[in-house]
Amino acid sequence: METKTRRQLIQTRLLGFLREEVFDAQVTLDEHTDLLEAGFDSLALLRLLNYSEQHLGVCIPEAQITGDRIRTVYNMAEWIDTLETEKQTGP
Amino acid sequence: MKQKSRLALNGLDCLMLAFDHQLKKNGYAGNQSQIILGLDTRIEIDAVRKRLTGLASQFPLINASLRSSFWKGRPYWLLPVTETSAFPEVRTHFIEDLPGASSHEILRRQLLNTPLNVRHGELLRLDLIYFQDRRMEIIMTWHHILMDARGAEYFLHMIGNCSVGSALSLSETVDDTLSPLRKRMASIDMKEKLRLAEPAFGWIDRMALLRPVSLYTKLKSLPAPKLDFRIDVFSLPETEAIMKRSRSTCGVMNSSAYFLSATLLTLAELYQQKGIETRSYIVSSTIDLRKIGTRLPIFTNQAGVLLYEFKSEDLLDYSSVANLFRLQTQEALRNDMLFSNLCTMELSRFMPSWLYVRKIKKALRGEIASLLFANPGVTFQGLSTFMDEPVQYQYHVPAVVTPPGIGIVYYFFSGRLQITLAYAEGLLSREEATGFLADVRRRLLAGK
Repeated sequence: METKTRRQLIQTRLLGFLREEVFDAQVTLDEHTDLLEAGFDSLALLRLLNYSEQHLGVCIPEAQITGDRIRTVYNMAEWIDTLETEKQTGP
Repeated sequence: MKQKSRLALNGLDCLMLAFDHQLKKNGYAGNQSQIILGLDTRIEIDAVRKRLTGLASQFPLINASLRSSFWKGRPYWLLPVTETSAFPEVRTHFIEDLPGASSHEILRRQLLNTPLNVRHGELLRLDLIYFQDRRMEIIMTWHHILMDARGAEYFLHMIGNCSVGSALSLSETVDDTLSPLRKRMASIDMKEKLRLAEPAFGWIDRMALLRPVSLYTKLKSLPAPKLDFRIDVFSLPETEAIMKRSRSTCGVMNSSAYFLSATLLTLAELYQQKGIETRSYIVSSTIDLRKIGTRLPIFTNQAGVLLYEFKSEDLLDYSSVANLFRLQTQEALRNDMLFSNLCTMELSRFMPSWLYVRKIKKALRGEIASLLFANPGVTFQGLSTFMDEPVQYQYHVPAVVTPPGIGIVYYFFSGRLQITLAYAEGLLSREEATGFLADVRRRLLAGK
């Protein structure tokens, strides 16, 4: 339950960041939107990594980034949540 | 009432003005760029002219004159009060040959080097080239003070589809508060801008310690050089192969790192062949500040610039260049360097352009960068047709500011990767430019 709540919180914050800072208001964005199809680019990805490090306290390892992990906000939140859990408990 | 006819330029518009000043001083046409559209069907000049005239009356900025306030020194656009203007001009050219023939290339080069009469409100021009087989080419030349390439793509789309233009107001097309960085910019005062600009100045000073020696060094003695360009288009299977190599070599969504690596490794090879010794390569890379999913605002420059430094000994292979590129981008984002650069550019609003140029030249003793690099991604899909006719090809020909006088743009049209190499004659011969692009192509396909 706690994990689900944390995941949802990460999801909400990621969505807020992407809507406010990265995507134009005319782009409809929800947790299942395919970001790559919506035009998410390399600079946006780096900004997201930066945001995660500074505001969510999770350092995303670049080498582990795959198209699937960053395809939707839902996937990203799930992955960041897993990284956070690993950070606390060890992999 | 008088105040309403004035529109202020943003910091980057002013920087473009400074570069225009520098280009003209060195004998070039000015800081202008082109988009080229190829069509299989002939569109008559009257139809194009009618649409452009309609847009010119809706957006008087298109032929506004550039002024500066005597006391404050800030440049601004003075919008024309009447609709009677000789500009924008639409001209026709008839070529007996087919596209790609030498007379076509000579004409293209000539059009690229024909200056716009900015002082009298000529900020863009359309040239329609008709070929003997009824194909045609539309070349829009625009001045970078008016808009950047993203805006230019959208404006050309507006000409091709007038209903788009009619849905927009002037304020939507010039309002620069849409970008989050520009919003931040509007909320801080001049003193704060100066403070925030300091890291950017510091960055430039640090790079100046290991100053690059660019190809431009050899160009200084040439009288009135011209610009030329070469274009390479990859097939769909080639593009797919390159993107696959990019992912396996540089990781997901790192095509910029892959493209830059191929270019820089080839450039270093060229420097060696030409006997130019330099301890560092400085790359100036442009970044669009607009949010993803919008082309607005149109009539303004909405780009930021990041400078990258690569020491000669770092140019070993893809992974070393790509890694340095990624690290420097991350560092820049962490330290808010993009915003700091914007603050630096914003300061140019308050300086005469010649003074700004002098400061830049002093900082790097005439060598600003070794290469201009851009990877804007997919071209605007609205330009896949023009006046209901399918566009067969679309090319971008960027302005190459001096120094360094050489720039490369990677972009995708119709799923294909395209590269435009623009350069000042004298830096490279046509054969060298062709050879350079062939080497970049080979590297991109081979991944080494």
